[in-house]
Amino acid sequence: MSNSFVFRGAAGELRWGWHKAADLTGWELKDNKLTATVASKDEFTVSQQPLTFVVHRSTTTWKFVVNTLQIADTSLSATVTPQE
Amino acid sequence: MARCRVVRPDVVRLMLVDVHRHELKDLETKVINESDPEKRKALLSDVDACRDRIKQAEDDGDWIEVKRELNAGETRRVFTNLVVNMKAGEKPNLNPDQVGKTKILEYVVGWSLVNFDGSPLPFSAGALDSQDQETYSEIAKAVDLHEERVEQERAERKKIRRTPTTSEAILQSAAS
Repeated sequence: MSNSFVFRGAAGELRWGWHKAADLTGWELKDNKLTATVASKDEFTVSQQPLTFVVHRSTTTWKFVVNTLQIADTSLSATVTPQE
Repeated sequence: MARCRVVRPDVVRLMLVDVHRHELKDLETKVINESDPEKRKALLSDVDACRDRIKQAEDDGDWIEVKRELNAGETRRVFTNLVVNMKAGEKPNLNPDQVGKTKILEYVVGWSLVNFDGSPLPFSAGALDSQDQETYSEIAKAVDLHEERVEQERAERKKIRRTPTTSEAILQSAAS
């Protein structure tokens, strides 16, 4: 039996420190694999490290460290781990 | 290797109590240097009030998180968000509501302040304006002190960079 969970959301973002690197839509997080559509991005900022995947919820903010990242046109795939 | 000039987005946590500790240090120096007994008495009363503020701030334990250093775009925005209009050769018209505030908005990325129900209050321009006057002043002073410290560090770094290299020293010695 699989214990994996799938989280989905309409909006999220990639950040380098406090700088927004990309706006993401239609993201899906399964285990530690993130897929999303890139709505907009800043080429310089998105090329920096470390990047964080950030999702704002009504009462809290989820943050994940981006370990690997591939962006092809508007398709994003990444591996992430929850930030301490 | 080429020098990377990009400002790394590092964050520094500033305890708000340090604003009052800094103020206390200044007041104590003034007390030592004041020879007029009346003025000295008034200063000592200020010192007591400042100690009370330190006690209160220690109990609160509040902090703000700020950008260690602003990059070029952020530094420009501190000014451009302040100016209503500007004509060549004339003094720029400033928005009085934004004086001091644009710097706080560019520097601060988070804080420990809470809402009425004790839940975390996300930092924003509206949330900043909603604080009481003392809190706003504490935040403004904390940002100013942080900026002064970073300016001093930057000046020190420049001094180190300007230290003559071995070849320059040899040239100078040969010329003298």
